[in-house]
Amino acid sequence: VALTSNSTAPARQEERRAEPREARARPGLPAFALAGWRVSVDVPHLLLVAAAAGWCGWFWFDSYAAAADIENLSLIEPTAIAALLLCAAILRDCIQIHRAAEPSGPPRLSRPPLEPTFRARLLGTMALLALYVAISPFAGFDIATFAYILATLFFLGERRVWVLVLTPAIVCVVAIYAFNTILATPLPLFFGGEP
Amino acid sequence: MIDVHAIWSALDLLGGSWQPWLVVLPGMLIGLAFHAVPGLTTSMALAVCMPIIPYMDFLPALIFMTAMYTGALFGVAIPAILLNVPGSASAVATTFDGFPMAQAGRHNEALGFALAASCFGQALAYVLLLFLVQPIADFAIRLGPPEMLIVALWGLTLIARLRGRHFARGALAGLFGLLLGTVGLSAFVFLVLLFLLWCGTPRPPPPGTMGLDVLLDGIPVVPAIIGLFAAAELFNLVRSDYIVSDVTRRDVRGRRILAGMRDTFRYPGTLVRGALLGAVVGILPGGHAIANLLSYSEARRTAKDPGSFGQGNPRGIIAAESANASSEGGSMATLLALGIPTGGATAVMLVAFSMHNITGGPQFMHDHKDLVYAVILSNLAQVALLAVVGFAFIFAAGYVVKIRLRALIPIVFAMAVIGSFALAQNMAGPVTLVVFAVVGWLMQRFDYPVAATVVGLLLGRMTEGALLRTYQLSGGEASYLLGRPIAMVLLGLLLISIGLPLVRRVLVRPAS
Repeated sequence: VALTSNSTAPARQEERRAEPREARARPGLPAFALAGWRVSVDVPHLLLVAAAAGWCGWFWFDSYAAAADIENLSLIEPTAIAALLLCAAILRDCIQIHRAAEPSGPPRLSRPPLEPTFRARLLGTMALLALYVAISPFAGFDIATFAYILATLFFLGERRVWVLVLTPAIVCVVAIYAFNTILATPLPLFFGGEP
Repeated sequence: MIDVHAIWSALDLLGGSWQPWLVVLPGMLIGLAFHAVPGLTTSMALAVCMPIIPYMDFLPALIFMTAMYTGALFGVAIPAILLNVPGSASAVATTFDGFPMAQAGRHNEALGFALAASCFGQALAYVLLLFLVQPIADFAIRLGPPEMLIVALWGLTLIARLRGRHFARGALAGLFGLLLGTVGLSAFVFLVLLFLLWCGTPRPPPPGTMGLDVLLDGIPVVPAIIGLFAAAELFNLVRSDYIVSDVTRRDVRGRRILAGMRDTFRYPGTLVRGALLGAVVGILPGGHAIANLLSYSEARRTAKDPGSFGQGNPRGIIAAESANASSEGGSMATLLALGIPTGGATAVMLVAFSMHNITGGPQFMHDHKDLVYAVILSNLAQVALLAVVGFAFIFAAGYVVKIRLRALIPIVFAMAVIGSFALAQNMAGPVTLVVFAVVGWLMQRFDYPVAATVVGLLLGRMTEGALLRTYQLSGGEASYLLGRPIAMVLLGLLLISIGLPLVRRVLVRPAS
């Protein structure tokens, strides 16, 4: 956890003046007051670090449960311990504590914020991909691939009907012929296969 | 070193019939085309063509397979550069500088660099093989787990060099990958579980698998790499219309591809070092997967401007591609001289050998030296052909930058999902791709270097296996290494590789 006293505040103000305009436009981190100190928390980053630490800890425990021998843990144990220590070190970037009286304001986000349009497109693309993979074994790769490409094209702004229909149709025919016939890799299909 | 009689006999075999030459072009085109699809590998291309192998004579069959391998080794660079999709582990390092160059509108030059480096790497490796196939066979048979462990550790030092802006985040990304690489059933856990099963004790699931049988063999590596690299990048591209935003830079120009090919030779040190490193590392099992990473790491370490690597430095592409290409020569040395496959592709080739009732190894070398030389000479000719065929192929592939991203993104994702399914033969491939796509995007967003995770993932299982076998052989005694001169030399090289930059930094700091 970063602890900043008033003595470093002028230096930080100087740094801020030197920041590019894009960085200066970034929003400040959410902060709360605590007994004369201001605690700023980068919540998304904190959640990511917590998830990484949780997975590393769980994997270490899981490996220990499978076989608690040096042969099994010789690489996993030191690696997991080092990873957990690094997670603790990175907390410094997630939680920053300053004196409440410091005039420079809360620290800013270290990354550019997501624009609302980009955020919507990103989440939509991710959701469509996840949906595609989820329905493929049930609907078959032919139906799922056609629907996925059509839906993503439409979602990303394509409105020409012939492009919306022909693009997924061509990709489906080529991919399914290549994999099922040439590569002899049976894909689960709705038409002519078992979904 | 060279058996002149066998060479003449090999020339006679190659010149006496048109049959061995007829298969080169189709083989090369199949190899090139296969790697245009994310998730397809050389071993799959070879396996697909396996049914026609028994109908060919042995030499044309062998040349057909090596032509496919030659084409695939370069083909894998095309999606790596244009789409940031490393179709296999051997093209991971190509993406580091290849895609930034493509985004900057220098895709023509980047592809030219990759093609020339690939041709040079393969040519040098096969020239070396011509002279050294016998000594290489003698050397490779002496490599054991301690040597493999040191090579794996050398590969892991790359994590420190890929750390990005934040050391702790880079190291965490690498260690995370290393742990991911050990998910599943290691040899030791397998023995423990067998013992528990024999005793009738309820068995715990292997580590990290959450009881899922599809993860017993570990996380599917290629779908994970595609997810981490490509999918994460494709997510970021949903805000753009084209890969290259400036319309004036979207041209596909043969002259610029040729300029890239010509300029490759302005970096002779990077080129030769990469090719030599690839040829040596290619001898080792799994070596072809790490040759590109080791070479990239060395190029970056020795560069005067290491900060420019990852930003579109041509030397990054040249180092990765020359090593990747030359690793084929090393792999072929091990296959022909020892009968040991070093990866999936050479394993399939070994199956093709058996279809002709031939077993690779010292006896094969002794009895069919003319065939071995014929394959080597034919591969040298293939390199010249690759320069022409590869140029035409990338000229066509370069038009990818002209396709609108709203069409390209779903097509690439769909092909990657289907390819991942084909690779894993179950839904573990596509699910892995999606999970790692989201993880990769989050890592990029929070400034964690994805490349370090990929290096850890690739080397995790190899390091764990080599460490376990070394421990068992040595009984935990470090002095065991003193009795293995090759291990000591490798260890010395590793320490020099780590120590030199530190010493240089200490010496430079007071001066500056």
